Amino acid sequence: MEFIETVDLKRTFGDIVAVEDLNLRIREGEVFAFLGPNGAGKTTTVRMLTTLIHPTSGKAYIGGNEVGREPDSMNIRAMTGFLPEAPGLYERLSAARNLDFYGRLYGVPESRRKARIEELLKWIGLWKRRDSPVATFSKGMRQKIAIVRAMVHDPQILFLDEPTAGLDPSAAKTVRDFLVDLGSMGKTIFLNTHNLSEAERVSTRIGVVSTQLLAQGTPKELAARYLKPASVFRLREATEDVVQAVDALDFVEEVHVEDGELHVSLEDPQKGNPAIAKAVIAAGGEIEFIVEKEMGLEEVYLRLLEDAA
Amino acid sequence: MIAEEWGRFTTLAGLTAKTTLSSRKGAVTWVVALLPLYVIGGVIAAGRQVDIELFQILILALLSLVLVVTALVHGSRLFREELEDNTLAYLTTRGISKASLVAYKFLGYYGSALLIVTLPIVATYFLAAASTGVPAAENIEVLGAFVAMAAVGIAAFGGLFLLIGFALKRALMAGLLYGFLWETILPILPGNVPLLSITHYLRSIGKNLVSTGILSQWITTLDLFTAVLVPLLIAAAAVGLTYVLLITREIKSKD
Ligand SMILES: Nc1ncnc2c1ncn2[C@@H]1O[C@H](COP(=O)(O)OP(=O)(O)OP(=O)(O)O)[C@@H](O)[C@H]1O
Ligand SMILES: [Mg+2]
Repeated sequence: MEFIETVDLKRTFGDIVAVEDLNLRIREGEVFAFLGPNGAGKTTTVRMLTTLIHPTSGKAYIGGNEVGREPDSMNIRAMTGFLPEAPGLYERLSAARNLDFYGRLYGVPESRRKARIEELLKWIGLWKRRDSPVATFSKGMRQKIAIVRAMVHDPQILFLDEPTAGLDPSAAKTVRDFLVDLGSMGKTIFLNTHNLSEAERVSTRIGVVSTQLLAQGTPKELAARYLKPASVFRLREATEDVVQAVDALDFVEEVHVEDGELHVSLEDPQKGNPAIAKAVIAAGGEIEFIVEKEMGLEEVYLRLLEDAA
Repeated sequence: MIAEEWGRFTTLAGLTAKTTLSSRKGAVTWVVALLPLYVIGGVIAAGRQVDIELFQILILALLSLVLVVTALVHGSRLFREELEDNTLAYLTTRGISKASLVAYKFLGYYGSALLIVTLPIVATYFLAAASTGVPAAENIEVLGAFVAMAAVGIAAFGGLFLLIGFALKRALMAGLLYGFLWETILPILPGNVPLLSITHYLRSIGKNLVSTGILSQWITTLDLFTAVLVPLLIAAAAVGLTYVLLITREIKSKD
């Protein structure tokens, strides 16, 4: 069994199906980005995995413990840290007391707790504000406190629901860099995000979700699996004649003009490009450059969502 | 394992007790709980002695108010504030079982609320005794009776208000109606109706422990054991029901 595994996990709210047919397998040490648009069911999934809500059907396992079985819940809590969508800090307590409270509940011994809290608060740059009530903190500062709160007991797994939401760009970068560090230290991270570049930058694997899991794999795998290769011809002028001439070639699957460039999808660019070039020239086109189309996650993502819709 | 659980107990009960004793709402209940001290202190300052009869009358007159207000303010907030501040969702997913969560919060409330209620009563008892010159040991069963009534009342009212605070948005309103209508009217109705009020059991405790004065005049058929047991069972049932609500009800992230 994988470290985190879900089997046909489903959750409905009345008539709304929030998540269904969810089968995830996440290995220990992976940084898994759960990527999807608003309302895709990301939060719902994490809330099921962190025992906040019950699945309507299906099962989930974390480190061999079954989610929702009361004797297993305590094990799951001990091995996981959780950043919820709404931070839920004790406003009247200071930053340090918030962390200390949860450290105590986890049974972290006092000496280690102190050192850990100091280390975490210094890391997020709030050590100087440690004795200020959280009520006096900005949104981003709260978010940072909530992130390190998930880590006071040094868990193996972190569930992070949009950790960079509400952070300024430099704080967001600090957090992303830290996620990469945590990943390289062998922590397993389950990261909810709708931010493509964040998923691409920090994760080892991505699951694209929109109620159902649309695809999963490394960013490269997803691109290879879901994007047809394409060539980009930069022309002095992309005339209608040129487009028609290229479209007439039987191995060309699709042609369109984007920013004055001709984008041509085809199975085997190396084999097809010379023939396309000839056709372009014959139709009166003048070629400046021919390049391989850069295939990013964004296209995969948008395409998957389009197909699902 | 046991050491860790003990640590959770001290953490959660400790924080709850600290909030009960020292928050701004705590200050309100201190003001009410200190009523016996103002009243009896005032009577003595006016040059009158407060003998044990008068002490009984004055404390009894204030006890229900003190118990209901203290239990309502602090019992109902145990979960209501966490729900409103959005902190409960996180807490219930973290390193403590839901059973411990309910139990330790309640125990933290119990110890501290009992302190708030009994300290002024004990202080006024000695003040009253000093004003008459009668040795304090002489009527100690009266003090014992009030402390016992408080100890049972803080548990029973606290349990009910804990439950109301978890289940209802307008917990304070519901609690006030219950505390000041139900608990005022039912105890003085005829027949078996008083058995439906906690006040009746508390008064029965007093009646069983004291043989003179107003405490001894309450009409009841209950023995001491029953009078203590029933309110404690009510408290246990209410705490248990809160636990059931906590495990069955889903806490919304934006609750
Ligand atoms: N408590 C609830 N009651 C009713 N419907 C809910 C509840 N929680 C979630 N939903 C519905 O479930 C669906 C998935 O919501 P969810 O919060 O999981 O999405 P998400 O992927 O986290 O979105 P976002 O990126 O906006 O945070 C939505 O249609 C939402 O309205
Ligand atoms: Mg969400």
